[in-house]
Amino acid sequence: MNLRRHAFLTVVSALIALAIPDILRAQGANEQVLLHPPADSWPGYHGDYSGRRHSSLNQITPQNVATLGLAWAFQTDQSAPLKSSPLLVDGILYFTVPENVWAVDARSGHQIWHYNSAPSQGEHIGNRGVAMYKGSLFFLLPDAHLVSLNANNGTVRWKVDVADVGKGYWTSMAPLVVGKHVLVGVSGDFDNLTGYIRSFDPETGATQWQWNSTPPAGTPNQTTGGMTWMTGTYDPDLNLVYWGTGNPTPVLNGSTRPGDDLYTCSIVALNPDTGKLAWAFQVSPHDTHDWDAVETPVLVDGDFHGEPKKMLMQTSRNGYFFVLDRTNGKSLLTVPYGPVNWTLGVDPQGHPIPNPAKEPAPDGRLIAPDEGGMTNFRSPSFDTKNGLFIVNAHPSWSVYFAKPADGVYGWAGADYGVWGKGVIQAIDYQTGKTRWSHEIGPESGAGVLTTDSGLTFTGDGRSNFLALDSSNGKTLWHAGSGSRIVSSPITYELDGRQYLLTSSGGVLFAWALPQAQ
Amino acid sequence: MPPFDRSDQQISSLAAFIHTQQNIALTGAGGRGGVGGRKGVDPSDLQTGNVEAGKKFFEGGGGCIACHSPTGDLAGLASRYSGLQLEEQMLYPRHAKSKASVTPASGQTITGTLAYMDEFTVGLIDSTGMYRSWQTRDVQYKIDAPQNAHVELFPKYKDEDIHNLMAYLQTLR
Repeated sequence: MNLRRHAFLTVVSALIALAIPDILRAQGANEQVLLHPPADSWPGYHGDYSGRRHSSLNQITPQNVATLGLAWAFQTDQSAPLKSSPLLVDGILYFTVPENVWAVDARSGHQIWHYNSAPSQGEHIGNRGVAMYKGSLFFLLPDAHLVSLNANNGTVRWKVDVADVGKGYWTSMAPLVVGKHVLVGVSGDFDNLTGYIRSFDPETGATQWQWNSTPPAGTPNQTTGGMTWMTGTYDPDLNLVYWGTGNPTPVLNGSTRPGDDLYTCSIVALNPDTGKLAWAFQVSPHDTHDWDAVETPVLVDGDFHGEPKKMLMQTSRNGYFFVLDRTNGKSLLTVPYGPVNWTLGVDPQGHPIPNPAKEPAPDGRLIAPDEGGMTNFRSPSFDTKNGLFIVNAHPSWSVYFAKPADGVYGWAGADYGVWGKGVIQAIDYQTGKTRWSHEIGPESGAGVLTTDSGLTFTGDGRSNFLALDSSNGKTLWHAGSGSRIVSSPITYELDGRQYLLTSSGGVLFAWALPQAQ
Repeated sequence: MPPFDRSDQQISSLAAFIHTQQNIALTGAGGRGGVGGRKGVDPSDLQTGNVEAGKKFFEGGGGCIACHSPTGDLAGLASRYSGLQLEEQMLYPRHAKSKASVTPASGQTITGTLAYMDEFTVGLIDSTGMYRSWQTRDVQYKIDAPQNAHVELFPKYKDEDIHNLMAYLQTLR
């Protein structure tokens, strides 16, 4: 190679390298951004596909976090609380409450556009956020429609049916984009309905495939339910998506659905291109306590008892911590992470064995945990630095009732929580033992975020945002937010400045270290 | 559209009928407002226990007698609470007040009814009815919450203990 040619190629390479970030920015959430999110992005519900909610950002540290201050706040002026995880792509944040999407400048917090759909039927229980594919957003409405918006201006590209709201379905989750698929789950608990995941073409809205978690309603001696409430995770190397399924229906009365009730209360692995089931692991066979297994299936690669493993971890609503080999769904560890009294133990395959004496009864059964579970929709985090699975837990007790007069449709019984508290627990994934715990008062709906610098961000049951030392759980920073926290924090870096994003009530708060004016 | 040959009253009735059907469709078709919503508990559901066994648990294994008296604080209990409300109260009295004692750096201890508590702030209502609060890092404080003894009972209960206790407490009229 002559010198002139070498110099030319060097200049061209440098120009290409400089241009790549702008190319990426111009393309929105393209496949590379979704697979390898840059520091200035949070392009999916969990940030990256792993569900770990662990950031490599380290500008905010245990040493300086006490100086964290408010960079800006955004008021939705809505009564519905923010339950969504914002997406950040190209410097713009996208977040939601039911029927509403906002696009907001991540540097200043000012609104760029606001989409508001017409009032709709269906349960308005909350909305977890949008998904993005290139320059398009995907948003679910309470009446079980999927809407695609132009991310530039919030105009509707297309709108398609996901389910029949008249039958009792609704939708609340943040879709998951994998390749050229928009994966969507459904919600519903008060009617005997089949749960499913449906894949849509991001360009046209056409259905690509559907995987049903349970048989059609009315199938004799078979369950319904298995709703797919929450966003799954994805392993690009294995090309498998991992998704949790919800409880069977009827909810508290299992008499019409004998057996395990597959695939309810399960973690399932699906091929995202075909919807074919690769494997399933049921965390609550024959559930009668409404313990959805839709808590984040967190993907971790690392050592397990001396062997390298591709693992999947879940702190499940039923009170058990599960570690699976995600290549085949085999159990590596099943252990309670709080009070549980509903099992006869764990079988050799790692499934808890339900105690029939603890099924809801006409005169009541005392059950731990309560219906809300040892944890719920709030996201946990896996701290890769300390090898800790950190979860906002809810040790709790309750009484469950069901009698013949309650029937076998929908809830089919009643349950009442009698006591509970909130605890941030750091679980050693090798043993399931809690390494540290941090009491947070009443149950909190705050998720968890960890960073490489050694910080755990979450919130307590008294509306305080918290930063804890990930190594021991000690509080390093807090800020009162004024309303209940029911969302999970995110972080990103823009213009060399790390931001922490938290929300409570209808307000989104951006926090950062002090900056010279 | 053909002309309507109907009276104003008939048209009003038709409009009312359509609105009614719309409301039924919105509230009754699926979801928690439909037939599959949560059910309830009748007092008659909670009558499977044995009074004597409940009294024995109260005075013995349950340890209830350490804090409660059937002729003292619990006298007339079943006249104040019944059914599910009584059972919930029995399992954990969630509205019970805690006492707080706070000692600031000045050394004088202030006592009162706990009004607020988190990791960072403790607040109480003092004997004059005034709300007072301190940063927890600045004071010594003690919370007296005897109702938390109920939490320690949860893992010890058998379901029949609860039913028997209910039977016994319902005799305290």
